[in-house]
Amino acid sequence: MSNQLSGLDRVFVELGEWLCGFGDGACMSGYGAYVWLSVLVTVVAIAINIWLPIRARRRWLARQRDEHELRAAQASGDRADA
Amino acid sequence: MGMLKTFWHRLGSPPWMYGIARPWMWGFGVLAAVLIPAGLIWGLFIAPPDYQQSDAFRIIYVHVPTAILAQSCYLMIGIAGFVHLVWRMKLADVVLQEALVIGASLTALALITGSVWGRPMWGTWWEWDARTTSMLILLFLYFGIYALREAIPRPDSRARASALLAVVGLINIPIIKYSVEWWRTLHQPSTFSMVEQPKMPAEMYLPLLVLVLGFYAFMGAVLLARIRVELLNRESGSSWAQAEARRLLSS
Repeated sequence: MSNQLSGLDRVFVELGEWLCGFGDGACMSGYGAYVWLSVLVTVVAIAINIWLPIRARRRWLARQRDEHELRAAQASGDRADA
Repeated sequence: MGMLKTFWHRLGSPPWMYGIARPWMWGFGVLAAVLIPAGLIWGLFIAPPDYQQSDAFRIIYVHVPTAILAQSCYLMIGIAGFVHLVWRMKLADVVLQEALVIGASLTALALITGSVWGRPMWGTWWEWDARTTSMLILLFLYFGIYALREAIPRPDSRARASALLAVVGLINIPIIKYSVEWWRTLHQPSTFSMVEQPKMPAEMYLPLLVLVLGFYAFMGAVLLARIRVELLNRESGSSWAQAEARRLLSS
């Protein structure tokens, strides 16, 4: 059947046939490739949305650490000058 | 009424908001971590297949929650824009800014999962249908507000312009909602209605309901996490943010 199709459709049908090898739960009546792609894209988007604020917080903390170290270095430099 | 007024005034205080957001963020996060996997397992493996669409209908378990959330997120952005324009509340601008990325990603997800569902069911990846087109306009609205914010360097002008665009863009929400009724479309009518019984049997719509609640909790958790970081960014020079930085660096 997949030989009559072209492009993306063929990929989906072949992927669906491959998923059917894992049993009914993965096969989803031959629609497995469509269903699992939707789930995969959603899970990736959820993961990115969780990771973005974590990264932003880490960057803010790194900036604060740099500023604290700079201020501490300046303070010790001032004391040495005095 | 007095409590509500006090709460409203407190919202204007960044340190108060930063502190109160933490338990809510974790609460929503835990709720989402329970509801989303439970809803997915229920919807993908336990709910019965549809008599016409077979197992392909299961895409609705990710498509419908993301589509509902995409619109809810924009509604929140529009309300935040209105609050900023009327009361000049800084937190409203923070909410507007931080909800943009979440809303845009949910809208993109709704369009992608809708497209993946459309290929086996409609026979096409994309159709210039009233619902899909109005959702695409919603995505462009998110991009437009983001681009506008990036283009204006002055914070107060940036906040006012993006708030105005967000409020104007609210007109698209009823268009998305009623597009399936106002025009002849390929897209099916709304899955959930506030006034009607669901057309699906309970074993199909209950997992969907769990997932919608799970995605709302997820949006709440991520939005609060983003708001907390943005408050620290904007208030970096203030004594409370410095104290928080010292606390976090020493821990």
